[in-house]
Amino acid sequence: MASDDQRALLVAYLQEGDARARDRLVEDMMPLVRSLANRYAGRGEPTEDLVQVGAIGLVKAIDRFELEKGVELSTYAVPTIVGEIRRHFRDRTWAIHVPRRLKELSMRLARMRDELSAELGRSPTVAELAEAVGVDEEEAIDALEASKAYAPRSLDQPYDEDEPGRVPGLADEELGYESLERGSVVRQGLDALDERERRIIVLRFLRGMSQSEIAAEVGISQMHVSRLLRKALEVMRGRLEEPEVTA
Amino acid sequence: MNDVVSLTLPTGPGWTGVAELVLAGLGARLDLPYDRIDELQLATRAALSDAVGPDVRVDATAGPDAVDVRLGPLVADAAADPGRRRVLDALADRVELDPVEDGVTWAVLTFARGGAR
Repeated sequence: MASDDQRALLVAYLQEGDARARDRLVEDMMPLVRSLANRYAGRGEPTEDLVQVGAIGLVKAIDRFELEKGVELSTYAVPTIVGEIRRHFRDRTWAIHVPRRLKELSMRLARMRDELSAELGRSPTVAELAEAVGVDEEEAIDALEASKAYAPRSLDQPYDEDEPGRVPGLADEELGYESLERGSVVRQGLDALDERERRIIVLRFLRGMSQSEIAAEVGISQMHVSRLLRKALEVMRGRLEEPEVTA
Repeated sequence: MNDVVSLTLPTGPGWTGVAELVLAGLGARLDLPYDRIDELQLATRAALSDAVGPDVRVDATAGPDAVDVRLGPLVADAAADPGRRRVLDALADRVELDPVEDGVTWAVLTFARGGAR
């Protein structure tokens, strides 16, 4: 489709509310979505699922498109489509094989953990979590432990897809990161982390914030904070064991 | 009366998960908030990364007010770095290190049963 035709459809949808115009735009741009989804094929998720997820990103891009900016829709849509596919991997991928039943239970427990924390004003017990999702405690523990095999987002992936490299919140110096002795092994380990992981470590271990407080501050689930803390401690440990660092 | 769960495991990161799983079961039995169980596991993982020797021992004692996890043997300077010690202090309510004997030390991590910090 020529860019003039695409622009006419965008005008019809965004200014006149013509839903059929959006459908035509989606149809027209599905080859782009398929092409982007194929880049992420072979990583444990069905390609068709990735295409569906990418299509959601495309629809979001069309909905948010600003006609006055004068950019091509494809230029605007690619980061949103890729962001949606990456989010899918963040939410759905696992470092080891975990049975589907446990994955699903783990997802329910993660949601329930956040809901009950908000409702009770404290972290729920395993018994409370198990009762809320209708399983016994052993099953709940199995699923909670399995959730630790969830692959956290890659260390170099920006926190905010719209503003790569920027992490919302306080600057390092405001967090007290600079107060750590430069020769300290933990300071050296922290230097090995990406900005978001470093922030989470600093909030937990220097500021003394709880996991639920960090989750609220950073805008992710408690389960995700827990996984990132584990991952960050592993990265720090790996760095500390490098002879040139510890020497 | 205190309940005690004792484990002897080969030293190495592949076995730390076994200790964590057992501690999760213990925490659930004691009705600890899940955040607390998570931090009990994290602290154990952090401390066991300083384990030395072929085997590591983990003794978890559940008292009326607290859970004590004694683990080791650990390298003698396990908590020599203040930053590393700060990680354990943030996770556990109390951290004690036995005097170094034969070049190794043992850590006792105490977690109050009152709730997540």
